[in-house]
Amino acid sequence: MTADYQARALQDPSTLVQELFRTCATTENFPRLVAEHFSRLFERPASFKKIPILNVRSPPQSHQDRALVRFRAMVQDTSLSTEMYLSTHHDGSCGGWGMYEAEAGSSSNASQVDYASLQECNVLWATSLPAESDWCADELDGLEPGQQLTADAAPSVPPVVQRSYKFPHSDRGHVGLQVKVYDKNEVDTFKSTDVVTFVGIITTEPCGLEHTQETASEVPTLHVLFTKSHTPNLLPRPFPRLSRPAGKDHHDSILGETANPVAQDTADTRRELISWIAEEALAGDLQAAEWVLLSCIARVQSRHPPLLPPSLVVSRFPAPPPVPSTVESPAPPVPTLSAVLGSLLPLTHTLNLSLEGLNKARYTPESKDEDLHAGVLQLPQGTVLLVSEGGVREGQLQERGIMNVRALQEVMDAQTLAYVFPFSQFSFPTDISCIILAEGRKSAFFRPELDIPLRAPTDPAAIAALYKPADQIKMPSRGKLASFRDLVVGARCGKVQVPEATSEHIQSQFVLERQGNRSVTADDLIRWMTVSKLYALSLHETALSVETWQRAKALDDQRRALLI
Amino acid sequence: MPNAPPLFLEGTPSVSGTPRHGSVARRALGMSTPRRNQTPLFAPGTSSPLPFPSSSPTKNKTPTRARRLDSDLPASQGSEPLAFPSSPAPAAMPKNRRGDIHSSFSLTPTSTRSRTKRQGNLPSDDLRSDASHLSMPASSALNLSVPAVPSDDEDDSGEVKAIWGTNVNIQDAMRTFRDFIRGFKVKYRIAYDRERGLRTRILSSPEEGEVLLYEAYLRRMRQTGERTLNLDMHNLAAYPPSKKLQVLLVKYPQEVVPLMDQVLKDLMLEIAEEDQVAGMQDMRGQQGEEEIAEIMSKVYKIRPFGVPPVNMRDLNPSDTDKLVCIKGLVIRATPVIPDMKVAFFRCLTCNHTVQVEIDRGKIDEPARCPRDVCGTMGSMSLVHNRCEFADRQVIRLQETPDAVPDGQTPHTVSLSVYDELVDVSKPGDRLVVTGIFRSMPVRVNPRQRTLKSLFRTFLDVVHIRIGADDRLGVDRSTRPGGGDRIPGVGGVGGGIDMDDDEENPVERQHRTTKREELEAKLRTLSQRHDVYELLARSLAPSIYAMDDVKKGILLQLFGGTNKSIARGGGGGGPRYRGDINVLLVGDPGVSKSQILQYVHKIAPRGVYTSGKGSSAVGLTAYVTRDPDSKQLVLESGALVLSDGGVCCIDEFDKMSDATRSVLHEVMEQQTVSIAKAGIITTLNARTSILAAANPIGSKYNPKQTVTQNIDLPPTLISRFDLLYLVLDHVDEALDRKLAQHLVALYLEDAPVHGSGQDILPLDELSSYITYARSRINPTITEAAGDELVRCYVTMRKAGEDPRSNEKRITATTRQLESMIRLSEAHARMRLSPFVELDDVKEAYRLMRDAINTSARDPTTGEIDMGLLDTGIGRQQRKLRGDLRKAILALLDGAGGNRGLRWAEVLAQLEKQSSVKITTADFQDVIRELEQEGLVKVTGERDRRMIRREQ
Repeated sequence: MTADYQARALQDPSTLVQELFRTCATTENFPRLVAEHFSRLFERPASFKKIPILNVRSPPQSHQDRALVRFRAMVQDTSLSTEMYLSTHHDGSCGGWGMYEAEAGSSSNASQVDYASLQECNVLWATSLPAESDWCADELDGLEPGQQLTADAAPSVPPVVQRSYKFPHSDRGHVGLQVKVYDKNEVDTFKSTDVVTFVGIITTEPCGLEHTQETASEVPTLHVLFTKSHTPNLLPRPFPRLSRPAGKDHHDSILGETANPVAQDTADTRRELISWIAEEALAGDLQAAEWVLLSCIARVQSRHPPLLPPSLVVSRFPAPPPVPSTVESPAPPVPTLSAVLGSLLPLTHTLNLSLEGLNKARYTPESKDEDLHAGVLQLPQGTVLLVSEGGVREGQLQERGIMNVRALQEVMDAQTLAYVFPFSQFSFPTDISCIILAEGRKSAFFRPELDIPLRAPTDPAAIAALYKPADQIKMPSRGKLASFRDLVVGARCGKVQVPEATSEHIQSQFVLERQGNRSVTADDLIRWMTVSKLYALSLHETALSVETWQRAKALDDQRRALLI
Repeated sequence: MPNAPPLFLEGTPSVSGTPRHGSVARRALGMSTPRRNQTPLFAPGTSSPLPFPSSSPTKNKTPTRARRLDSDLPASQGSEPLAFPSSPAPAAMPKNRRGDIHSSFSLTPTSTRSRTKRQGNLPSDDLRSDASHLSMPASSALNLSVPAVPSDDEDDSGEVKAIWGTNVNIQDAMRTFRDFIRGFKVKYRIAYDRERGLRTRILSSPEEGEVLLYEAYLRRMRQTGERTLNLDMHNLAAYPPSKKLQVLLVKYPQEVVPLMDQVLKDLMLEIAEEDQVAGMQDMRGQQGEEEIAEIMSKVYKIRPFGVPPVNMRDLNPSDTDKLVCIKGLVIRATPVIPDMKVAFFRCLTCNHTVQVEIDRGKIDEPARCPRDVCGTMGSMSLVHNRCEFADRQVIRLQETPDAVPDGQTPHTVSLSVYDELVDVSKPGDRLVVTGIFRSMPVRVNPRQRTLKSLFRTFLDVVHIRIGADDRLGVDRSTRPGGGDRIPGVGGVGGGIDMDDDEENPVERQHRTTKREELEAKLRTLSQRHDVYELLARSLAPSIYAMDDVKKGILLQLFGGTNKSIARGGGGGGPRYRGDINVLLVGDPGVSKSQILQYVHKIAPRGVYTSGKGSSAVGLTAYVTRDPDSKQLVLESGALVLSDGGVCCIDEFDKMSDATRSVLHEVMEQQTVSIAKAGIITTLNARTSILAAANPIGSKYNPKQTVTQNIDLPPTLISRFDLLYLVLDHVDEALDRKLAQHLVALYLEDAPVHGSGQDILPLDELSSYITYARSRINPTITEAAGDELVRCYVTMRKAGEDPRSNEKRITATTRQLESMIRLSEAHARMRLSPFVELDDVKEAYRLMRDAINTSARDPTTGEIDMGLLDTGIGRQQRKLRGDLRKAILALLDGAGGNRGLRWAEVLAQLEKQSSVKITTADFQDVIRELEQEGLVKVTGERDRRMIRREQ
């Protein structure tokens, strides 16, 4: 595995596969061998980073044909039919990975097919990661914060995106590819919305989605050599949080071998984080900011019994200031909270609701002519979804709109999303925590579990500040921002134990409460427990103490008091 | 053609350049051949597999018949002037070209082929059956066969004629199959099934087992004119001599199936002739002749089935060109595509004609006229109306939801169906398809000339079965009698081996290994004394307590047996529902919705819908225009979709009246009627309904009756077998337990179900229910019947009140029916074939408890079913009676035609009465009086006047 060999692999992966085939052709599972061989070759992060990236900035067209690339993607559609390929050509060379025999080179009996050497490969459709925030992308691409791709400077080919309906948010820049997976062991592990980095050979091939046409159109195709899976939150962050040595703010440092001590300043960082969110995006309302933070770290913990992230509505969130009609800005302004979340979370998406959008867009994926069209809600697990109702005006919600609202409500209630297939529906598990910004006392469309009214500002300037553009946000220092991210992302991976004592305390408190107040039900208990667990996570506590429980309950009681 | 025979004497090679003539000649030859009934047709040395071995002709052939036969041949033969020299071989004879079977014979080395072919032309053979000729010989084969050498006769003795590339011995295969058809008896299958440990049928007499099944089928085919024989491959395996053939058929279907087709045709003739000789009815004299002639003109096909079905994901390259079986859901079907089987070319210069057969999806257009004299380049032009076409249709088959691995999207495969199978299935059908797995090369890159290295796969279908997927756990009694047979192509021999065996033994066998274990497990489970509690506990493990509710719902999932009066008009008479409907009413926050969600997951064909969101349309069915076909199609709603299952409706009270009214029909008649966009139809919705409703004002008011508490019409409420009030009481001990339960559940990171109790996993519970529902149909024993009567009488008696002559209704026949259903369900739950005393007792207990909570009159504390049936309890009825009298008296007292003001009447009554009169009561009474024609109300709102009608 010399550097030279690595360089060759980067330059001409096909030849390497051929060479490998010649030495180990007898291997029963050759694709497995290829996967192992190449993943070993690029095992070290430093060498892995050398593989050119395929993304919106460097789309398939900008790469050479049959070049080695890595593509961090969301599996969008696994329903494409499998294909068969000749694993050995007549001349004894290797087939697969887009290597086909040229007609001229073949002998006269080439029309005969040796069916015994047919092998199967699976075809998927993968798109670039929807909802991925820039800082997360940079970190995963292996770029230092602020560093730009060298290729970016060069005039890149404007991305020509085919089949944009297969991307959840077709108006955004994205890349969609046909991915061919040769290693059978891996195939079944890929599910819709999974995030995977595919490393392989890029080329173009007829699209596997067009079964009925005689001549299928060509689409960019990635022949996978090996894959790399991702942790649930994409970015590894320790829980509980470790302190970062001063001066080094890059993530590598905290994951390095040198064990850093557990950070002691988590409570302070948490406070700073809440006040930053409040200042920049919520008109200074600390309480609302605290609830937003708790929502950000919520995720699906178990499906049986359902321990799902609670959905939160921030009510009384003022509508965006009216835009003078002379200004030509078709898009309603996006709440600043969107940008704030984007700078904290690896995966977040903002849904700016409008009647037109609701009636037009498709929230659930739907299979049309055996081609799965993406839905707005087909998002990777662990996405935080910000839903802004500010753009909704009076009008009629049509059938599609109603279905869309129901789909989103189902995601909040059950964390499942129904994919529509002809004659059947399949429910797929999702993990999307929702934060809704509603203008009125309640959300117009949704019934969330938690409800916090914003201490709404009345003066126009303050309202405008809620919708200020991203570049006007006062960003904290880089070190600070890094510790904010450590806090949020770490908490999302964390686990909380409940000691016996706390459990006893919770039980007796519930019995007491119920004696005092008949309206307290089991639902309240469940909510308190959910909130207290999130509270403990936000403090990076590994065990739920009675104190934290009480503080969490007090927070919830304050919230309830605001509602009346 | 009287002069034909001399031209083609025995032993004369049929060298004439025109195979058309040849075929005619062979027919003629056949006629002149002496009958050789005694000669074993497939004796080694003489038999010739590929050509057309057939039974000998009968003696009494008449020239008339020969002529008629000739005219039966494809039109080309008669109409084409003999002067047109036809190119010799390609597609010389009318063949049974099956689109689904592309023989690989074209790949056969010529030497082998020529040999088999030559033997085919042995003059000693009767060639009568050419109409059913195999599809195998490709053009060149026939070419070679023409200059046949008579001496070839000898050299084939003892030689193994295997099809190249396979180990199919043609003679062996044909002989075995012939033997099978003539020798297979029902008893073999029974012995075979027993060996595999399957449930077998008990024969009524030993003779039954001796029936020659396939001979009987062949006779039936002759009588009905059916041309397809569905062959259960398990029967092949069951018949000892043909065991090997079954393996060959799976491995080399495209070689073996044509052989079988051939044997089938031969045997059809043979049996017909035997019957004719035996003088069977319908086969005598002229009639028999016609029958035989008809058989000769037909093409017969074998449609094998009975390969264990596999998941379509599991099809892999090693299955290529093998017989496989998959299940799935038809999502799209193309219109019928004419698929060219034989192309007909005519030379524009010399009118020479050539036929070219399709070879692996391609037709080679001759570049020049093959006639040496002419030889013009590019003069051959296609004559469309002389080409032969087959019907073809491409179907997209998608995996059924139950076969899709978790978190995956369903896969689809393309199916090619041909001829009779076209248009048999429609989108939405569930199919079990047997076919040949094909790989078709695709061009990878149009700019680059690459060769077949990339393949798409599809299935050439040989056999289709619609429906029959009992994993769905659909109640079988909801399906039409006789099962879903494929219309038109069932063929004699049925989709099913033994005529009365509803369940396909193949599928049974496939699952036997897995199933047996499960079944044994379920059986042992059912023996547990606490199985009832265990199942109820497992139903919704995260929900604390509510044991009776869980038990009631559990019984709902099992369901009673559906009964229909077998005799009676209209083929079956009415059907009595066995479905149990349950309504949960209760305070918010008592996990009603959660229960519904659980049930939806467990129940077979469970559909979950919220009353708030669904319209009547969404619940029932919806007429829409299909974007592809532009036809109006019905899209089933939740109720129709859950036919044979459970429909869970949350927020039942929030439903609009229009939607709710649909449920009246569903819950008693179990149908949904649609009249929309010109489509008027009644769809079956034989579904149990599990509904949850919140009380008016969100908190249940214990001082009021149930009907006053829920905003639902009493007529609808009474249709529920069980109505549970789930109330939230504050009780320290209970609360503590609840808290313990929840804390354990919600605060652990890897939550275990419940607090350490043993419960069944969801899928096991689901399979237990499915198993019980599909297998157990308990009948009521005498003891149980007596107990039912006793319980019913007791319940009714409870309404008798010695102190008053007015009767409260505590039970109606509806309650009796419910009780029967519940007892049946309970017996089913125990997997017991009989409803016993204990079942009835439990049913009675559940009913009583449910009535206790729901039908208790809050004012008197007595049970009154009238509350549920009419919404008005006895107490209230009495009150209204008094009110009515008082109003009439008041109006009579006022006298005159002027009448009294509305408010005035109310005020006066208030004064008189000791109890408060509600406006609602007052309004109801007035409306009643008005309907009876006793009073008349005029004016609007505040100005309303009530006048006594004279």
